[in-house]
Amino acid sequence: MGYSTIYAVSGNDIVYETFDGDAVVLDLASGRYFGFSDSGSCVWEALIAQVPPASLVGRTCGSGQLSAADLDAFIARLNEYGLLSPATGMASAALSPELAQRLAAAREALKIDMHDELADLVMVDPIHDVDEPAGWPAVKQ
Amino acid sequence: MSYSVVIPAWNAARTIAETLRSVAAQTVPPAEIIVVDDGSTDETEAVTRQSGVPVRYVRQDNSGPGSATTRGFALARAPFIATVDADDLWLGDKIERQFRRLEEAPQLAAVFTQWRTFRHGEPDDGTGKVTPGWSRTTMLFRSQVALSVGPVIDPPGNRGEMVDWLGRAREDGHQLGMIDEVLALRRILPGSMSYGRDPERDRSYLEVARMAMLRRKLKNAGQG
Repeated sequence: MGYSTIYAVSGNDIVYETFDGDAVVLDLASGRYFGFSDSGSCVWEALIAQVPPASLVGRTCGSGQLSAADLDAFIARLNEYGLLSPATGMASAALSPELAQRLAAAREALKIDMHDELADLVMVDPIHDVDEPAGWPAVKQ
Repeated sequence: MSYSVVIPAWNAARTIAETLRSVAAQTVPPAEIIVVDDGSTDETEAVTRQSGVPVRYVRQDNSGPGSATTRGFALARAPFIATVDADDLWLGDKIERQFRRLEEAPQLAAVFTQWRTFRHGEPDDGTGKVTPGWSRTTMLFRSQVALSVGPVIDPPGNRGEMVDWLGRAREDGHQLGMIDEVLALRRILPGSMSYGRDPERDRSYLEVARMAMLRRKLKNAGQG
């Protein structure tokens, strides 16, 4: 991992939202969804806000500090799941005070959990239908 | 075996008559057909009443497809409930085949079928995409089980309500069967509620995922 790398969400099929501090990510192409520990939610939000990992190493995270090794492993999982990819031509951003505060208050280690028990149901939901002549992702009115 | 049909409908005047005819044409006819109009502002009611198919027609303020489905479940009187979206179609022996499967596999709580897409305004030429229809349009449920799963909850954005409800049914331990044959047709109707992608509605699916994680957390806490 390059610590100055900026990351971006890997394409339109990856959708995400933070609910009361808990980030939820869904891959519409596979139907898999992902949840995080409290610190994992903070780091996910930081990375997609274009904060480089270098700005996170050594940050207070609960009773300890974020280590380069932990961040490395976490980002490797995000890559492996196809959620994040290195982005080019994007400016880096600073960690927001709000995220820094949440990270400091985190109580759990960096973690992401993958769930696939709804995948077959999500995959056949009509959201996946394509109007072929118009092409994806054109939406007609 | 006897079954009720529940059809949630919202501004379905263009399509509901064809849907009703496909239901009425089943080789095993339904005991009753319940149309729950979810506050349509078009001619859905008139088209339904003029379709020539006898129905129980109930109307509610616009609350979402899950709410309309739940209302229909509460009104259904037969020991089995089949549902269909107001723009989709059943093939003639759909229910007969599903009952046969339930007889062969009595442990199943519900039976689904494959479905194939067709384009609105064009005849079905059999070339549409075929997928397993884990959907409201294909399912035939034991009524008691359907009621035990609880209401069909509409996530904000009004999508994914069946993903959530069927996910909950499986979490409760109910076995859902799938017939590997196309017995229903799904209409591709640009502008319909379920068509295409839209960021606001993508969030519906995130809400469904979040609710699943919260349930898991609660369950794990209960076991801890």
